[in-house]
Amino acid sequence: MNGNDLREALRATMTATRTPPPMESAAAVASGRRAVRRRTWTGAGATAALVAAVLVAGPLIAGDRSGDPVQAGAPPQPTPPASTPGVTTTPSGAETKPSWPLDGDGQPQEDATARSGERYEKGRQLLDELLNVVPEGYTKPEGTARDGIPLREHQAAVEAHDSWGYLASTAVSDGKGTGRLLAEVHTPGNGLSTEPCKLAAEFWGLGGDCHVVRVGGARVGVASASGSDQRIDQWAAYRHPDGIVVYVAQSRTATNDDPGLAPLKKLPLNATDLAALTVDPRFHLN
Amino acid sequence: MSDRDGAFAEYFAARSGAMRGTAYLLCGDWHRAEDLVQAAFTKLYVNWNRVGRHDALDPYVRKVLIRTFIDDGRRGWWRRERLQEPPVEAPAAEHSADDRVDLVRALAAVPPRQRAVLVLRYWEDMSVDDVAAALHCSPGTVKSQAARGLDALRSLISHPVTAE
Repeated sequence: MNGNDLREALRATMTATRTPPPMESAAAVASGRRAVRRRTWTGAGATAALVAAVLVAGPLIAGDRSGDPVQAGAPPQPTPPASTPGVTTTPSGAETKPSWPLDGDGQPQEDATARSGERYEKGRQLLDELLNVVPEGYTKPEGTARDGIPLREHQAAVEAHDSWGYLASTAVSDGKGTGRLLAEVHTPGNGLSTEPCKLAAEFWGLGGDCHVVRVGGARVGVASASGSDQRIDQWAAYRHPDGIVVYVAQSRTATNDDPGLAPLKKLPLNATDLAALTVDPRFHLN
Repeated sequence: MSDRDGAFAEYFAARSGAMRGTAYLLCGDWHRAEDLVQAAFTKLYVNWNRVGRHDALDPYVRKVLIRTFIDDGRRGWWRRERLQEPPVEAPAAEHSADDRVDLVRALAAVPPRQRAVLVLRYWEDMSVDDVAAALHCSPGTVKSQAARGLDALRSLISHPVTAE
């Protein structure tokens, strides 16, 4: 079973499965109102306690508990329903089934990820190189975090236009907190931007606040997280003249959802070091 | 009914069914699927003014639903509180019913994060980047979790799990 088979099987399963009656909108609205009322009451209760302490007053008015806070501006409009996965919109497997490159065993890959062979080894090489550049004073923990994400990982996956992407990441610990270093390399034909900051913005679609750092004659985009997406704190992006793109990134957290690992207080690398690594020939993998 | 109630009810009517389908594939149980949907929409209602302004209702509800599913699994409340209930309900039609039961049951035996990736990628047809944003992880992690999830599923279907 590959991804396409699973897609078809899920459609077939859900089409043939008896679904319960639709859920009641009124019940959902009532539940939402109760939640708002609890929240309003909690806030109002705290305020009332403070006022009572100061005034030692009689009955207190705890504010509007109708569950309908005053709305600023126009009421939000629901987005149009997104396309629901459905059988009718799914092309047949025969039309869409991709043909994967050969894996190390001479058989076609099960999916985009190489599980053995030359490309797989390139991913492993990237991890080795990444481990070599972990700054002094940091250990490189192994194993798996509680959220099931490995603390050390490498991967090679075929992407669009027969370009390959290699990814490696490792947790790094200073003894008090655990963060992460990552490297991502895209071989020529990747379709990524040629402009340093646009290139940086394309990393995981993070956008970020970017500036250009010069490393010798190379112009490297260095970006920091902005907005609500805080998966990565800082990353650098460089496109080699031959089209190979190298990203090196760091974050204060080792994985994104594991509450058991305290984050680093300080990022392991400064912006200049991060930029220099993208130009480093050790990460120039094709 | 306030403006918020009206708009929320309209959105709920339009999208709760699809969200419940996704939740069902995540947990393999319609009751729990409805609990997850209810929890996600309740949170949406509370944050309606903030979320609604950004035309991001679907991603928001989906993200809350997924996180609630993963967090519940981590706490294990479902296993404790619903121990007596069968993990999977039988499909309606008789033909090929075994295959469908097998798929939902096998999916339920895949580790929760891998399962979430499989459902979002192959049922919701979300891109790797969108799944990564929803699960708050890297696109590379999505790819590796999808590959591992498919491996697990293949193994489970060729060696079916036994319902407890």
